[in-house]
Amino acid sequence: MEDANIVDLYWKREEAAIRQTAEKYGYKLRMLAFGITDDLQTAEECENDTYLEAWNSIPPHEPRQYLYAFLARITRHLALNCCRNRSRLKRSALICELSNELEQCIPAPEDTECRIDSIVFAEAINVFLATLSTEKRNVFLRRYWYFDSIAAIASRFALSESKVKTMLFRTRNQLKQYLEKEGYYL
Amino acid sequence: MRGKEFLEKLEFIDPVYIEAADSAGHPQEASSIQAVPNKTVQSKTEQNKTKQNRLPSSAILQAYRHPILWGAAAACVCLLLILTLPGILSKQQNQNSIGQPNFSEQNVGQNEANSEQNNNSTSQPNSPNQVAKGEEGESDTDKIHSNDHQDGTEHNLDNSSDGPAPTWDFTYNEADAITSSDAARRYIPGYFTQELGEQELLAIGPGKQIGWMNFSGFAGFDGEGKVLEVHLTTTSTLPDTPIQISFSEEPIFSCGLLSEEEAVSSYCNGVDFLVFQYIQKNVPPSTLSLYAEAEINGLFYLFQMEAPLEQAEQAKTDFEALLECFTVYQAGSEELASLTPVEIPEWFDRTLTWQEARNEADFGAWFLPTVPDSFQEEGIHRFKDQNLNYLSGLWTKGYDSLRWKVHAYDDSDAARLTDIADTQNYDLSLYPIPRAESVPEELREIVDNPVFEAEELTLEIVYARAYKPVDHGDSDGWRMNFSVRYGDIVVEVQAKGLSPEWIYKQLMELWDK
Repeated sequence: MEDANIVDLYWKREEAAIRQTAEKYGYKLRMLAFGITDDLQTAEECENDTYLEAWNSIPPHEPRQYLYAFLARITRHLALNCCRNRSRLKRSALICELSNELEQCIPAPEDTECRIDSIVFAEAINVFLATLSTEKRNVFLRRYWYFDSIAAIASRFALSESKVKTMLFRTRNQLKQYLEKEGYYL
Repeated sequence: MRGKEFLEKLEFIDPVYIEAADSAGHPQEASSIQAVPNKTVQSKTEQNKTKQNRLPSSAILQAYRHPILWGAAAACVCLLLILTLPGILSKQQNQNSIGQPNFSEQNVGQNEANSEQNNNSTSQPNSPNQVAKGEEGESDTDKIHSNDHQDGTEHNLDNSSDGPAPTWDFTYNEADAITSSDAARRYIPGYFTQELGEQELLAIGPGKQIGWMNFSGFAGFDGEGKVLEVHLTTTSTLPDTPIQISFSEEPIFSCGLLSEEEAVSSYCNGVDFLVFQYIQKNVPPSTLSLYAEAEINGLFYLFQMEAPLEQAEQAKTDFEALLECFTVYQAGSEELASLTPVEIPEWFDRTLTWQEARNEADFGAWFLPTVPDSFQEEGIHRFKDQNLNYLSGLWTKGYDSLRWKVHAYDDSDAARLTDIADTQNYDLSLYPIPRAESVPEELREIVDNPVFEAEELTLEIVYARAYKPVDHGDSDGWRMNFSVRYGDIVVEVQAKGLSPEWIYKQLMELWDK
């Protein structure tokens, strides 16, 4: 079923919307959550919570053109919350690793408070992503949005692992330079 | 803003980019194989296919992308042939005269004659690569053993003979950062490990060993008993400074962030190593981490060593000696496949109905006696492998949920077992939200999930574990999580939207039995 039709079902408050969503995107959402939490049951829980969140958010939202991105964003948020709230998941290593990598992009001393709100941040990061080549942008997002491993990214885009790492390293540096140049202090 | 917040705020990225990144590349080859739970392990055919598609190393890739390097590569090949041809011929002569090498230290005497013969036959000048084969060049004080895995016969090479020092140099690339190699691990159904015995260590150990090397290790298997990976540890000449070696038929996740322009491979005995180092000076004491990656006989190797910075020179000497020893490894994947588990630990992941779960032989008697009204069953699983053994169920109603998990009492539970008099271990009213700031670090584990003795459990204790956070948009019911011990069994409860009285009643029903 087309995304627009699924969104229509949500708007009509038909429970089939959940079933259609699960059939079309359930596997991918579960995989996304599993990649973050590394726990099958928690991933299933995140997937189910995503459907509930989607049910409560559509309407008013109407993600006809980007339903998967809309759902994936919810799943990612829920999975990160699970990792933060449940120390037993032992996923802090992955989160720390990726956080440390991204910390290199932050042009501010460690004790500086956040001076940029979410909307401005979103605008800044989206403008920056628009300056990247498609390949660089996709690699960056696979790593920091989808939490893919270096090996998985290398395999996905037919690149060597060192190439992926170098690409990420440079993109992070570019991002930092961009934020500094544009005067964003995070 | 910290890195973690930055990571979380990336969720505001334009959905168009998110969709594009999702559909880009070839996800079937990547994430679905590596990260999907409950997927069967790749078949041999698939693995072979993956191998055929394997990418060349980064150094080679660079060469492909810079045609000007082709000329240089051709010149190198010619030079290599000129240098190695006499060596290869000479080595063949040596092998004829040496016979098979010996791995056993006890046979030193018996083979002295052989060694002498060996030394005599190698007395003519050798090319660098010939030296690198290990017949010559090691420290005079080191006793070197060589193991040719091809037929299992053994021969000891006591290299007290004089000879030139090794002529190869390992080039240490500087890593900008080191990442955790565990992050890329995929879910493997039925995965288990087994310690390696002496004979197994001999079979998969390096083709040469030096006196200071003392190997131990374990192998990791899938649920069908097929070996997937081996992790070895050897002592070095430095105290408390082991060297770790991991190898597998599948590529091992690289943990070094290298700048591609500067990445230089090191060539030793026909093996290309990507060697790199990382110096950690931020937190005292400063340490030097050494890493090497290589593909040897179809297996992917990762070598790791961490040593105090002031002992860097000796650490590198040991590390390089170990790398050299592994270049003489002859057998490749056939030897790896010969590792078989003594027994395959029982493993399964069964989906049950609530009634089946209640009748389950091991844990059914402690399973949730009554499903809460209006809650929908999300899944009940009976799972068992080498490390985990539990019966677990999840029910939801909107944002409300109940997870009920039954497992055997173990050491981790014992560490969280609390006396009801120690209220600081469990009373959440003592710790305002956010608890990351209010709970002392040393109490975090136990406050997060305390274990109570069933006979001590009271409704007041359940209330001490229950709280109602102000969480707009979420269920406003009671939330609680804790565990209760019934002899050798532990019941772990995580609930949202159920009253403490209801939870207490369920737990007491189990106790009344």
